[in-house]
Amino acid sequence: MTAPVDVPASSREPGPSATRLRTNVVACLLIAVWAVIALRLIAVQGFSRVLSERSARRQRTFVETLPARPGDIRDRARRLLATSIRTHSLALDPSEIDEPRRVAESLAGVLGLDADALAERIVAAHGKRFLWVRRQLTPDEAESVAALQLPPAAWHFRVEHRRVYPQGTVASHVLGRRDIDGVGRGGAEEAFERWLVGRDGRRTLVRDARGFVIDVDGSQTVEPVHGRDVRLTIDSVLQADVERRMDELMDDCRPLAACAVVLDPRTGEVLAMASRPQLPIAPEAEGSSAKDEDLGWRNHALSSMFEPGSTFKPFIVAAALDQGLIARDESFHCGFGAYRMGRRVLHDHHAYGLLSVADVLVKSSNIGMAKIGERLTNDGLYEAATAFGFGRRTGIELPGESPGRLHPLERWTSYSTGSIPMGQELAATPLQVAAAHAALANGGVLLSPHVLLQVDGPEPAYPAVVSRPVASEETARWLVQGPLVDVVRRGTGQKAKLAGYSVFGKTGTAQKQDPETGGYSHSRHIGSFVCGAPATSPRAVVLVAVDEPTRGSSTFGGIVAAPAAADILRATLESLQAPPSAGLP
Amino acid sequence: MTASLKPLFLGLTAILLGVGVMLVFSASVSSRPGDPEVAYIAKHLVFLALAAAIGGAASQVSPETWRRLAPYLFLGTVVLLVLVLIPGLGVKVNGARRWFRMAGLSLQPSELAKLTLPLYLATVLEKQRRVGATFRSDLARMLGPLAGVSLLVLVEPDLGTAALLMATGAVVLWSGGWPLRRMLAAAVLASPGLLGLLFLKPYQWQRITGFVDAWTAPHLAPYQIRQSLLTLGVGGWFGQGLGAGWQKLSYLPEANTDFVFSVVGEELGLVGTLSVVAAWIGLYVVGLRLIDERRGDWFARTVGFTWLTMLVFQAALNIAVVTALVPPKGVSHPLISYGGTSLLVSVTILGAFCGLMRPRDGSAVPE
Repeated sequence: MTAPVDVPASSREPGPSATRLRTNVVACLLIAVWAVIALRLIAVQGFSRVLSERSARRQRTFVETLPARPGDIRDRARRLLATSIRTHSLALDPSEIDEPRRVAESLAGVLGLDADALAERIVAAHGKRFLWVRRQLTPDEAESVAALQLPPAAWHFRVEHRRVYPQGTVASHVLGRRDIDGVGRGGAEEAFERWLVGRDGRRTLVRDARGFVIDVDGSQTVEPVHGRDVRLTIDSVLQADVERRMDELMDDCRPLAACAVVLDPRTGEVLAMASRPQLPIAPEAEGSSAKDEDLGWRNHALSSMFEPGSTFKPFIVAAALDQGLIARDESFHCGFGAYRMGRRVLHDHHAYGLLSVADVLVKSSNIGMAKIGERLTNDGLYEAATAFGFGRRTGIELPGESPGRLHPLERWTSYSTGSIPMGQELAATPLQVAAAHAALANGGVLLSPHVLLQVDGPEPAYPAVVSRPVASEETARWLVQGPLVDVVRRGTGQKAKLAGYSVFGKTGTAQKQDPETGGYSHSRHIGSFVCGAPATSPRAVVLVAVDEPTRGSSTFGGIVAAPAAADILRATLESLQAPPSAGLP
Repeated sequence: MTASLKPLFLGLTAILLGVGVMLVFSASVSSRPGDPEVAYIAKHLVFLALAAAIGGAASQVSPETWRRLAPYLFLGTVVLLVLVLIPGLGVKVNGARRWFRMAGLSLQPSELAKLTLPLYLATVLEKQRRVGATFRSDLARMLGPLAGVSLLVLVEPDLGTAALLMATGAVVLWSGGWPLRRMLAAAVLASPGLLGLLFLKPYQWQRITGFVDAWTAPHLAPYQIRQSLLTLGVGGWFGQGLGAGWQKLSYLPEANTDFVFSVVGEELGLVGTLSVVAAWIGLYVVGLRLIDERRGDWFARTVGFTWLTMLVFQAALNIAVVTALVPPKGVSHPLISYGGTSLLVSVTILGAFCGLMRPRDGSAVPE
């Protein structure tokens, strides 16, 4: 260590006190700066703390929905009709995307989208935090998207449940559809929404700034409550048979619409219910007209109404018998085809003379019915119609049910006395007619038809079935086993004969209103046929209604609807394994 | 006195370095465990060991040796500052070419200037004063090199470091006793250049006005400043605990370098940040006392004062940026920030400072 040689220069330095003054000024300034900094720190860390904590928490936490899985819908044998599968739906956070073009191109490549359109959508959504790219991806698509390694903050999958109907279009009108947002639209999906749809849970995630999830805040988690499974009264095998038969009917008769209902008269359970045209979502419905689509969305069995015509006649007879206004062995003279009621002349299709009560039904004589109507008077007719459930909804759970139309008694006229007994001047849904016939088949007890068998789960729920006597058991049995069996054996319903079973039934042919004249049309009909078996202990009631058949020899219910109804009845009896009646061919 | 002051000085240095090691480790943690977080601390420790060795060596260098080496060290610095501007040699990061990179380590020559510039200027000033040089000669021999180095840093571009180097030069001249008239004259001469700079680079001006606006409307503040204030605020009085901070998980940019002090605030709270402030003030005060005791050697006192002041000033400037007292500027926190050259140079400066303050046989000139 050598002493610096040129130190003597220090003699010409400014005096030590001067240097010291200068360094002290700098030192004091710097210490003052530090004092300001200390005060600033106290301000920043001492006062604005709560606010900071909240905003810091907000920027790093993220509430994720844990979607509840909708319950399955099964048929009475627990066959799956509707179920849900977990899918991933792809959403972007446009505010986190710096290169919309590149992101759009890579996604478009994987998902087969139009890259330009997607890029445009991303740019248009600039500043927003959410943009669907495509929902409910297939597993392969989801995997490919994940493999793209896009910036994690820019995209995420949202778990959604996709509703699938393993049996395709079978029972589609009964089931309705669950839309992409998980909302039931029509049918059981809508009717049983409160059981099928659970309650979404949620979970708070902690993310870093790049979007990586780094923690789950368990204290904030709300578990989802999944939907409950619902079992329907539908037998999906029978339902498929019914639908096949209805498709044939559509081909044969080319009507506007048609429907079929199969009821178990002992319980009110709907075993099958089909409506045509098919729901427009079915692939074969593509290209159909707007009117067709409109018709396709309707479940005609419960939302369309028509004048029941002759199928209504047995209820009037039942009421007249029960009130003692007519006797079973009584005969009515049917005026050889014409009967004057005031200013009105009624006609029968064939000229009949004296007909027994049974034959009035078997031959479906309008004049005979009008005479019974005169005995009942308007009051009695109105009472009979309401008793059998006309003019109000049957109470089936499915949405869109029409109450039919039964004018209030005040609006009835002397015309009504002749019209109502032959099933005119009132309108009913096919389901109302089927349910009323099921009441006769059930010994006179009307049961509200229903499609819910049971809601599964720890506390099962069951349908509320309303049961009400509407006719005496004796009268009901006589009608079913007597005149209504004869309708099939020797009357208008002979096409519904089934080997081995005693079939009862009633035909109906209603004239539609002519939109031009307002009166009854002679070319536009609704043919219907209701039947059941076995007559001694009915297990099934089937109704088929055909709206405006355009092809075939006749529009009569006994011609257009009876064969289909008979086929359906046989399929039903077979599926129920109902024993054939002894002694029948 | 020296016997008790120097361990205190080294102790405070060690405390700040220790805080640095902890916080670099903590702030480098990311949400995805992996190599980088270990890589940062490993490199930091390698640099720390290197810094301790070089600083230890520097503490053994006598003032006389520093005087002799000063021109060469300065020339070396200038050469490196020129080389770093050459594409291919210098690495461009975020639009600025400030670094050499080799074998995974990077070197920032402008940091070296913080060490060599005061040495050189003090050496020259000493000579100039001895010969009674004219103002013109002073301009050529001192302000010329100062302006040259600053300009080289400015074109990288690195306005912050350039300004720090200018300030360094000013402190040398001021504390070295350069006549007041000449200082004023130099300031007048330099002012057109400084003003011209603001016009040449309007975005710098915008940054300043934008910053002033942000004082009244915090949501307009730049992202990193908002995050920095948020991070400090979350820490509160006692902090979230070491390693328990959230903000460093990529919300706070440059959490382990320029904004490491925010992480100190989040994890150690106001207690932690004020302790660091106290450590720096303590280091400064103790350093000033050491200088005081080193009466005789003008060169050692001037260089030592400049080094110490600028180091402590840079720490203050860093906290001022972090707490939004001044416009955002890329200034690291000496001894605490991760950053190879900065750490190396800071420790070397403190080592050399201790060397300069060591009384030597025969060097003590009685006042």
